[in-house]
Amino acid sequence: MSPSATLRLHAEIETPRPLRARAREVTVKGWCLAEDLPDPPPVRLSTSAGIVPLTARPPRTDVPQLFPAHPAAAGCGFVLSGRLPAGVYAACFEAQHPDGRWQVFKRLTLTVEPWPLAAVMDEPIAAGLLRDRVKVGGWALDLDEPVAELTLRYGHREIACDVGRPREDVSALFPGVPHAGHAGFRSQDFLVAGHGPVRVRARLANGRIAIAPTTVCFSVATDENHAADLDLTLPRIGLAAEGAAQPPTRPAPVRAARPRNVLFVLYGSFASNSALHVAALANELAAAGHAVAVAVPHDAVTLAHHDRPAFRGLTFAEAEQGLVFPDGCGPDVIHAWTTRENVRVLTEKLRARHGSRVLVHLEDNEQQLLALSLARPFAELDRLGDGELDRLVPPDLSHPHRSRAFLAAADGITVITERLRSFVPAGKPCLTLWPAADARHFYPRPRPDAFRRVLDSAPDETVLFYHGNVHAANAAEVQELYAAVVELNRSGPPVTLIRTGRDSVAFPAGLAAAAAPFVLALGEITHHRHLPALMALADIFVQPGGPDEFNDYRFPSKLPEFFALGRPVVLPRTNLGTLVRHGTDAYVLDRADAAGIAGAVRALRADPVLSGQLGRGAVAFAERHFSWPRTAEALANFHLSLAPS
Amino acid sequence: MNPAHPDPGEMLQRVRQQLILAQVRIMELEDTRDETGGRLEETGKLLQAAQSLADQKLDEAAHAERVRADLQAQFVHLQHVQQLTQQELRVAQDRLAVTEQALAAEKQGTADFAAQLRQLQEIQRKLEARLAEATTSNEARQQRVGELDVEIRGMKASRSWRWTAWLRSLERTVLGKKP
Repeated sequence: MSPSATLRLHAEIETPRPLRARAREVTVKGWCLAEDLPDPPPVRLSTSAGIVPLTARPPRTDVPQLFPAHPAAAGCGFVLSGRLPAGVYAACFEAQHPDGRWQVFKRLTLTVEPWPLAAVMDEPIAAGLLRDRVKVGGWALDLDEPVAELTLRYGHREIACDVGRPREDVSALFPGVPHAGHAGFRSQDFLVAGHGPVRVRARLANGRIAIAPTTVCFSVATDENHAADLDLTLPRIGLAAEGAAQPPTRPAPVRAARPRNVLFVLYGSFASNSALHVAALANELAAAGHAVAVAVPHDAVTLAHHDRPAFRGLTFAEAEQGLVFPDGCGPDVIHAWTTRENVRVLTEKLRARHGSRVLVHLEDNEQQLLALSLARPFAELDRLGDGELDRLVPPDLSHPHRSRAFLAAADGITVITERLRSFVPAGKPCLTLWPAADARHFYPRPRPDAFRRVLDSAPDETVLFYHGNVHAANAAEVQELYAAVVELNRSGPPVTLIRTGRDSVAFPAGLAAAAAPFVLALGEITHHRHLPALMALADIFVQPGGPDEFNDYRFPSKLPEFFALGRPVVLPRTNLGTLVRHGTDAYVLDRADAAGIAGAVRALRADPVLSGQLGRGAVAFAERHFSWPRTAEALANFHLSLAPS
Repeated sequence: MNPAHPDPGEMLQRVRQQLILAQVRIMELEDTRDETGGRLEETGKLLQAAQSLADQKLDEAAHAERVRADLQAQFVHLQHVQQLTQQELRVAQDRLAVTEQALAAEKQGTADFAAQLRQLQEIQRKLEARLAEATTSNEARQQRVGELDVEIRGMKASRSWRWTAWLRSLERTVLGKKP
């Protein structure tokens, strides 16, 4: 054979592909023989980061069946093994000519995963339980980067350690790693009280954080800050009750015969309460095959607050720049969520551009909201000229005149309560859209009694729950709830109100101080899906308020969530309160003021049977009346009923 | 009461509040863990898919390289064949030139021959015309001979000829003329 000739090779890589090496250790098996050589040629794996050599020649019984006449067939197996730095490589498998040249016979990719942080505790013990308040030590090594900082974590504790201590034994274990000789660490102080398996948490020189388990468990019972009677070894009590209920199985969505492009235009960010309704409808419409987008005026990143949105979120500015759905067309339907100025302006622009049908959703008495916000009677505002109103009305409220024209020009109206139909122009198609609760998270949940036993200050404590922001429109009624809590604590067993949400209106100082010991204000819970686990702590849900120009026209979005959880719901005889049956579906008060709420709570505490009935009644009512899939289906049919544009 | 120490009731409330918020934090962390775990799994799958795709492309590249090498060999072979063909072509062209020259000479000879042939044909045509005239003239003469012969026969058969036979015999005898 001449020196320039090419070997006629037969070979196979038998290690499963794609080739992946754990912890930098590369091992590849296969076989290779050359027709023109009496012996199997040497093979190797070549990468840009180094060579993985031939380390074994396992005999083969299968290859001789393929090449019965070839003398090298039985001895052509190979094992290549060695270490490579972490990375993804183009790996060349090569066979050697008798003259020393290497010939590639196979190219594959090779992923080499990094070596995990190796950590060993060996001072004073290498395994088992350590109860003594002593200093501890060991070694931690990352093959690529020296350890810059190191702490030990156990239970609820974290203690700092000195690093860089000499360890000749580690250097001997890892002869190719220059920093191995200084892989030792030692705690800076004696152990403090805490219980749990020890984890080594290291910040490497390149800033990466690496964590490694050890075989040691610390169980230090006490220190200067922990009394001996504080048992740190008890298991954690979580919010999820034993055998907690699971969300109901959802039937497969019905696919729409005529999918539409639907754009919702929302007046606030995805963190607003209305966004919960819009997101739920958008998800349901998307599940039915419609293409759905939701435009918000600002903070589009708040879309991350929602669980698995199936729609596209965008800003008003993005929508103005050009809104194209996956089919390359614009929106068939624009659903303006309220008549508020920012929504109206964008909707009219997009309608002019795309010729879309426009629906307007009403969920509040916008006139009353404007009057409350500007602190002027609506009739007085309505008499002002457009120019003056343009100056007064902010973008997130409705202009008295322009909102009427907006409604008159709409192709259809949706309302959240029947009472809002009084704002719908005569003859205009109108659909009532009842809200619901997200069934993935809001479903009957048992009370986590173990957690309540930890939380409660007394065994007979009652927990109320109210989630939602406090603003000018509802501040008075939330104050009634606070007053009821104060009154209940003054005259009976303890009552705690757990609250979430932001307060944009301050409570009277006296009431705030009096209620403070009984109110657990948790602030804003970023992810709405986390509320149900907290709501499950409650014994009773209370919606304060009473019939008035604000409440009669609204549908508090928390009500379907209250009903879905399976607790007694106390609510006033307004909006939904006019439709539920007192004593069967809920506990209905003519006015849910302080006295009424306190009376209802006392009645429910005194009558566990009634309380249980109302809990079950709430669930039954929710199942009958609150369903996003049904509401979305009705909305989709409403879209279809509108004349095509 | 020492004002530096907060009210125990307030402390308890804070603890209760933090207890619940810790649970919220745990839920957040569980979300992060689940999301990160899912992403890690997805990333692993993506890497695996990318590697598989890259391996496939490497196989295709190797195949393409083999095809390229085969085509290169064929190209070299074809180049050699082309060279031989060109050599043969040049020889054939030389032969063809010689043949063309011979053919031209032959063509000239043929043209000359054709001209001669045309002259001969003209001569032949004239001879044939003259032959035809001679033939016609001969036929006329033959006809005259025949008429004269008939006339002689008639004269010889006449009584006068027979009655004067003796005179002619006498003449021949006298004059030595033959009959």
